[in-house]
Amino acid sequence: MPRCSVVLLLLCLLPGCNFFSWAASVDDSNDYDLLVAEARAHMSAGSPEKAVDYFSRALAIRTNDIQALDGRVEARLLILTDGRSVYTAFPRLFATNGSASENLFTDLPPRLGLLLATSLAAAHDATVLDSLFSHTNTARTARLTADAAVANGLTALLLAADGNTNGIPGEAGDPILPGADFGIRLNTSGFAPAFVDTARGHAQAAILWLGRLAMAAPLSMATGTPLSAFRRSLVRFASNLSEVRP
Amino acid sequence: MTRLLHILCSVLIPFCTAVVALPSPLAARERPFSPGSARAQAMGMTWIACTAPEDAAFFNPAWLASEDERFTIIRLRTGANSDGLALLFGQTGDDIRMFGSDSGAGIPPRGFMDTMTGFDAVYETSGPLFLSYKGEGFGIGLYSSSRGGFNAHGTTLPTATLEHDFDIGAIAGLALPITLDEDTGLQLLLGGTIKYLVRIRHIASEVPLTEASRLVDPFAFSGDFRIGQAIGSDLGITWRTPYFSVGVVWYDWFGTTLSWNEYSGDFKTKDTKLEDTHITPMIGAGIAWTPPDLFGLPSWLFSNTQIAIDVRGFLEEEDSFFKMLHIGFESTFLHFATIRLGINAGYPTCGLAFLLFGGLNLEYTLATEERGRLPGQNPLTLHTISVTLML
Repeated sequence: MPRCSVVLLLLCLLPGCNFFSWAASVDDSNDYDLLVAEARAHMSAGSPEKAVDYFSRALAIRTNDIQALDGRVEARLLILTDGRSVYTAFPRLFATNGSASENLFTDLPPRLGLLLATSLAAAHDATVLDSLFSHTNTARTARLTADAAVANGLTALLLAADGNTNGIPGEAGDPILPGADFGIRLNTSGFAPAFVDTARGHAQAAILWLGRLAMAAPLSMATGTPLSAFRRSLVRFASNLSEVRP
Repeated sequence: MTRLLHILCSVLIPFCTAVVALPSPLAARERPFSPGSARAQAMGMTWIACTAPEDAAFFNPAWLASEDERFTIIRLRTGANSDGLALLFGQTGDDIRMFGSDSGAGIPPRGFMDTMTGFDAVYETSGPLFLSYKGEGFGIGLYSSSRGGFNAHGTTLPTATLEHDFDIGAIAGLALPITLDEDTGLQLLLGGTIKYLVRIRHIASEVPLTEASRLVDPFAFSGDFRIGQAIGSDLGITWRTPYFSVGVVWYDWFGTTLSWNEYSGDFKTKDTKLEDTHITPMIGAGIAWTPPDLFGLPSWLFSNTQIAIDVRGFLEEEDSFFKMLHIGFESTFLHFATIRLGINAGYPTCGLAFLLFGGLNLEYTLATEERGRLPGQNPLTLHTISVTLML
């Protein structure tokens, strides 16, 4: 009987473990469907980083495939948010009462570097995906548009915070720090202005995405919603960026 | 022996001819029809050589030739993964209805969104329609079952999708026992069924999460749905002695084809041309051992012990042998509680069953199935409860 109890206990604790997983691997597979299935499995298991790897391998086989691109955008957004909603992961992006004395980003520079790389890639994927898929389903269009807007907006803010263009925003040597009020705080002067223009370009792209979202899903952009607040903040931020001079 | 060879040839030659003549079964593959069984789930999805009498017509028609009679009036079985349980019984379903009822919300509350990001509910049921009668050499059955999934995508403006199949099946089968050796009790059982199947499919297009209430609320159902009809057949052959049995079953052996029609939400036929879909023929083989006792323990303590192995899916395109492998064990404790253990394509399974008043069977199963193509790729763990009333 004690043996039976141990077996039962193990069965209850390990229902998702597979005794034969050693016998199967997709590491050297070039099967598109198998790679997408593996990516989806990692998404379900809460490992979006691995999902991105497998979606990327699937896209190497079928370039610009909608299914894999859509999955990769979703996975990249999940990496950005740690598996939560963007509103919980980045509350200051959607707040309307941010203080000028506070930083917009509270994460440490290495984490911000990961966010920048991921949001940049997500923004690119979303743009490619938007050019490929048919916009017959309003809800799906709205989801993609909102994700694209957040990815571009986040990229704009992080790029602005990476004045030394080493890919790691928020370092002591970076000349600009975005405030929680979406204002600009200058750390140092005498920097090359190109990154400011790039950041402003992404901010304007995000504003355009949000404008499209207002057409596709008006309720989500109604006054008082977090996304409408985000749009207003980005407009202010882009305006502030245009006034920055070295 | 010559007689046995004749029987085998008469069965196997048409099998092999049909395999060669079959059209490619891999296009638009459908999930097989099945009323499902908590017992099979708990025993690692083994059933070919250890079929319960009430399931014989559905799982292995050869077992219709066995002596016992069983009249099953009803089976209510509900299984769901943890997200599915939250949707069916927990707060999540209520939250979806509550937030969905406020269509002016635009974006759901962030706490709710955190819960729903990556939400992936799967649920399956048997019943409420379940009626089967197994006589000696024949059986009939009528059942309904369903399986569905509800999931949410997106972290900014999430959307929800719902896919749901509701199946109704009627099945009738005949079987023949042939005694091969009276001294050893060796018997050959041959059986076949014919079945009429209806599948009602509702695939909701992606909707905003704020409008998901109309997907999960059965009283607010709307949208197009499809109805597919098919006729199929299974063939089974089993050798058995008092302690061993070996079976081979050929499911949907002539390639069950579903012909579809589309209907609008108000039950009017649409003119959409839909392609036929197919349930792939599948061959499975199983072996079961019924030891006289369990590790020498007295039979009043442990009885009706069975150990079974199934290998199924020979005709399907499978990536791994281990995904086809199923191992199961059951033993009844004190003639009251049945303990079941198994390995389903590599995943451990377990279950407990209680037979009350001689005809009411209560079962619980914790089982994982593989949703991916390889063992361990995409596990889906279902908690299942089942109530069966038998005479």
